[in-house]
Amino acid sequence: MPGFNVYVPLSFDDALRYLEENPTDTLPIAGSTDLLPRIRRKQVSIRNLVDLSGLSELRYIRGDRDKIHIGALTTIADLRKQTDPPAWGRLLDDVTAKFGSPNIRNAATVGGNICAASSSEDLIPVFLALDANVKAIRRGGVREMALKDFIVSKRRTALHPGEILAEVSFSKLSPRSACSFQKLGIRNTLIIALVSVAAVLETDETGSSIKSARIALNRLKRKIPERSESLEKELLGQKLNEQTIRKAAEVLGDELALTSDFRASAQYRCEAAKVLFRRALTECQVGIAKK
Amino acid sequence: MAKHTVRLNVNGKDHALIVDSTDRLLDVLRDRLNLKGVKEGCGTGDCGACTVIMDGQLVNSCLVLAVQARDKRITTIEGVGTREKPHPVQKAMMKYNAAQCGFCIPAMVLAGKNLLDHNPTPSKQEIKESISGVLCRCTGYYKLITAIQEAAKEMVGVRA
Repeated sequence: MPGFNVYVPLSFDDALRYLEENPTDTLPIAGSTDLLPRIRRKQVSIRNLVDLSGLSELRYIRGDRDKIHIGALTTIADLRKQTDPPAWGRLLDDVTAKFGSPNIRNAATVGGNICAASSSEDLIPVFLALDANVKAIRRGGVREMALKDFIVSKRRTALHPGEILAEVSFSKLSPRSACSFQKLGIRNTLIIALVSVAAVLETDETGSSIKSARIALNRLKRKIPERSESLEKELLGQKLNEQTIRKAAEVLGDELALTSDFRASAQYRCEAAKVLFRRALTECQVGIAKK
Repeated sequence: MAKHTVRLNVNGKDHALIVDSTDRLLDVLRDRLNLKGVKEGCGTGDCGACTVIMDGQLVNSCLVLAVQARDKRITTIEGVGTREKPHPVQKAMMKYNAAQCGFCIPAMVLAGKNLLDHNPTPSKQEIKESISGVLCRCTGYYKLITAIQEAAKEMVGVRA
């Protein structure tokens, strides 16, 4: 393994102090499920790691009146164990069931998945569809921004040196909402998505026409998870029925700039994206009809 | 490179070890504590052959730095059952010839045992999920699932 030093902080404040004093060539590590293999493959070279895995301050799921707050060190298994499923429970169930494997879910954290900032990270489309904000902390300062602005480009976030991701938060869904996450891989477990789609739909009081639509895919033009604005525009104000869903799926084709790689061809990815999109919206339709 | 003093409890026994920053839990278990039942397959978290139970949860020991395992309780296959008195999961796996090449079996036993520790009456789906992080390239999952189902029945019978 290429050399690095691990710093074990005595407290959360101590971790922030270390990051402030070592702003370059330092990364936080928690579940190590993503970073460690990349260090071993020499895709990342780093001098210092700060081990956040022992800090409990950032491991929580809290709901207040309007919002859900998830600490960055919450594991995927913690999310999956939520016994009192909130309105976004469906999304949570779908994404955690398909995330890595039980072993990975016990170690991998919400913050780690987001900061990995690539099309492989299942949580990013989900939190984008929930219109989530993230909170970044450094010693003596906190700033909040939209997740869509936090993911700058592939493997790049808006974190400044010395800063760490502390929390993800999003508004609770209205009773007229439904959501779905669809992921396609070549097997069910331990697989990187060829395509994934997260959808959150809200209808008007009658339950028939679409009041708001938030659709995120794991890979759009910039090859990172993004929301599709043109697709959302296409859905807005339309009746929530099969015809609308089919028509919108065709718009999706233009939004995708999928490339071929060893996992799948661009053409296959494109067709699969349309199918997953239709499944996601149909599931939302069923979800809303049940209310 | 930084050194760390790490205390950990492995299979009920306390250890204090000086480890390098880059040492993985897998390296410490195999090379320092001579627990060769912990296998290294891929080294990247894809195969699960290095699975151990850490504080009651399955983890891939190739993805845990030794320093991150400080103050944890670890169970490896060497801490489960004996030749004379195998764990019910091991007994059932022997009965059904669930092992083929055997490389994944320590991890499979630990996954089955950990499931039954937390959920004595799992459904077939829950059993499948519990071992889904461990790859068997002989692809002999069917007998493994049957064996864990049988072990669950036996353990519930003993408890009753």
